[in-house]
Amino acid sequence: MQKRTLVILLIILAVAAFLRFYRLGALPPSLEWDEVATGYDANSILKTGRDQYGNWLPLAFRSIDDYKPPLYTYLTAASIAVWGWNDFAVRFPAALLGTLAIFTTYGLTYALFASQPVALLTAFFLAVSPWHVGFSRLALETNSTIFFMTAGTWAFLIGRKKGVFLPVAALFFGLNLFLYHNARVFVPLLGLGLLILFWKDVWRQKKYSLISAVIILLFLVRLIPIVTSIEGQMRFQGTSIFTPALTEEMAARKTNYNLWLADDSTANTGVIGKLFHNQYAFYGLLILKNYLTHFDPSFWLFTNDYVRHHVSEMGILYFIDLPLLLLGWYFLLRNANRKITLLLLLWFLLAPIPSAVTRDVPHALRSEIMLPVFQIVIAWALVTLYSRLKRKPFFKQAFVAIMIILYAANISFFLHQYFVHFAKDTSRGWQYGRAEAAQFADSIKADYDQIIVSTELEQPHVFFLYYLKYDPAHYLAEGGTISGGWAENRNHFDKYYFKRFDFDQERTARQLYIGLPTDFPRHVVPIKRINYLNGEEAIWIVRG
Amino acid sequence: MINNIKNQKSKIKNSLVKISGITLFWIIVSALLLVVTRFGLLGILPPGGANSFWFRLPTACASVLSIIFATLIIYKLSANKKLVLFSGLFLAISPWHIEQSRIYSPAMLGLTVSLGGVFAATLTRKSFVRLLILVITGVMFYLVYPSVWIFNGIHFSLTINEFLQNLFKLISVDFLFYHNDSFWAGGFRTQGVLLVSYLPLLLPGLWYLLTNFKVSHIRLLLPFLIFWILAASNPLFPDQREFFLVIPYLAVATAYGAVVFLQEFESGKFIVKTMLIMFAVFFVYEQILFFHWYTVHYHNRIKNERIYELEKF
Repeated sequence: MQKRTLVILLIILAVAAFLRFYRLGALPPSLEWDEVATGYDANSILKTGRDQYGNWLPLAFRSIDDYKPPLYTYLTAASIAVWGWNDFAVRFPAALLGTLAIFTTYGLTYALFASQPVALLTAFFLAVSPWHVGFSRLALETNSTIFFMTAGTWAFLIGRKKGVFLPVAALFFGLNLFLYHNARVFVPLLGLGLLILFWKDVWRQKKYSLISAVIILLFLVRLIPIVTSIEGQMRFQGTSIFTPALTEEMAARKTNYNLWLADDSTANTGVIGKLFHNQYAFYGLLILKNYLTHFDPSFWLFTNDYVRHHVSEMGILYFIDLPLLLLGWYFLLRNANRKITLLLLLWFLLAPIPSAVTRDVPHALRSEIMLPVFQIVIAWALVTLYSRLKRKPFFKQAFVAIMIILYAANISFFLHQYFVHFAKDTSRGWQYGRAEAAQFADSIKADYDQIIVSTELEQPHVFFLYYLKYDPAHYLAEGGTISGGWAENRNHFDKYYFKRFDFDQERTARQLYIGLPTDFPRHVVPIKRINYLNGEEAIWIVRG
Repeated sequence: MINNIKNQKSKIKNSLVKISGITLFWIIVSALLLVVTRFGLLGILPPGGANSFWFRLPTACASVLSIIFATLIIYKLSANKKLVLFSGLFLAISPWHIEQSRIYSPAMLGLTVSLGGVFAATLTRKSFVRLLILVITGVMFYLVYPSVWIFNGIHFSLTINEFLQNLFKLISVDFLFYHNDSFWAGGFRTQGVLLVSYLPLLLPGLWYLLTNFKVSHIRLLLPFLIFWILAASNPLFPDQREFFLVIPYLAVATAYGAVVFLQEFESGKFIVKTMLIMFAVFFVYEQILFFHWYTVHYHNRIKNERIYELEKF
């Protein structure tokens, strides 16, 4: 690597680190349920070797009944050991792996194209990507997957010539299987694609290929019992389109199908209805739609999924990215190395498959595994365009200047929206206010026998455990978490009881009630109101 | 001189007049589909009043004319018989084209006038005549399709962000293949502009067009861009029908895909052929599904909506 390249890469990494670590504990404005659950479990593992349910070093964390893959929680435990038990520490592994992903993406792109400008530009685009920056600042597993995917693929590409890297690739891919649910579908699919594309190279490295196969096998031996167990399938059950809990759109479609079946049973024998409006057609077309929507420019530029997945007034890509992305694919399909193009295309097309069978699509978080293909293709487009402006220095300079201006405008808008407005715009989505509620309640708990917290606050027990820094050993001695189910009314610790309540029917003088404003009758006057950052009411605390 | 003779020979060779049996078969199939889907049960499907047949007849005739004009234009521009036949076929079985053909639709009349104007323009090389055709077409377009929002003195009131969102909605998966909500009364809210099975044809078609794109083709794209922008900038979006005017472009792109499909099928290996046959089966299944849906369920929905409107208003 040339000295100049190294300096540029270090600058890009510094930018990436700044965008991921600056005010990490405070922005997004509060930890959401998955983050606090991971944070509490990680600390519990660190202190007791058990999770909040009392399971000894689990390979699937039950958490909020979604049985999270374990790797991120163990990494968080290490982070808490270093930084102490705080929001920064919980989000630290994501930010660190998010930053390291820039480096591995650089390596991967260089291994693909053997071009420093393409690799550096890709690294830069990923460093400032709204999609990647946003999710690198969350204690969720998804973003970390990108580090393991890029590292694994990079190692695999190097391993074609230096076989010793093939087991390294196997290690990264194997670890990824224990990091995120979607990776359990995507990694085998992409791995198979890599083997088919480069089978001659793999065959040449027989010894290392064998070692790699053994490594993968070891991971699979541990993984298969998990994914085939009832617990392992809980997450799929909770998010898939096949569950009885339908989204609004699915319910509307199902209603249509039922109406059509009724039409057919009166218009004909009903056989035609069964032929056309059966559940296979319903789910087949729905899965296809779910899959295809991940390629919708509307999703990329104006994303309509959860408000916390993007800043206001923009999506997960920059506007200027779209034309360059199309151009990049054009250049790749027309002129580039066939195997490289196929690999990128495979990555791009396979990545949304796991999300396609889930509800609430398109989903920026579940499909983030598509990164960094966007950035690679865009970088390739820019470099190809630049190289085509031959012998005309003026055009080259003008092109560079225009691109810098357009990207500067796009990036500065994103950074402004993120660092200035994001917290206020999205605090409701981040379940803001739980920390303040817990701390306020704790400050006056001596005056009460019981503190009743409404489960309408969405998994409030993990928020209170986390923000009150409740000793895990003590919690487990009290019984630990009973379940993370939505209807669970039995979770409690100390004076805190987490359940639905009917305030007028149940209240007594020695009780303190905490819930949404809608949990209380209109005549009630709270002793404390906690607002979201935009001024809307979030939580009421009321004397019994 | 020799080149001229060669060109003329090539034209005669490609002439529509000189047609093979299979070509004739496709023409007959398309024509039959066209007649049945446009005029069959026209007065009662979708449900209407006593004079619905006569009220809808001009649009149905215009729809047939639009397909004839479109195929002639495509033949003039490409001299590719397969492409012409496929374009005609896809327009004839296009869900949105069928739906608009069977109601009183200013958009369909506007489309026919536009295509007629373009076809007339291809018959002459004189700039003055072309200009005259343009003016006449413009006036006729205004007369048959006065409800286009810019003719009604409505001011552009969208923000740039809203406008861009509208632009992308019109080419979104949801709108194109699942949920055409561009027109409330009689619209296709449970169907897209195209059937999902068109996608494997549309993509290679677009790819072919892209890879053979020349700067001179920009003028051919202009109407598409104009109608797309016009539809997206409608203040009443998504309740608009201007985007319907781009339907011939979608048919041509799909037809290019079908030509590629056919070439792959003829030269493909067993596995490729098997995959293509499976796709063809899906395509036919979905097309039949559409006809079933249109004749049974769409009919019922419109009937219920009419009853509701009569009771409510």
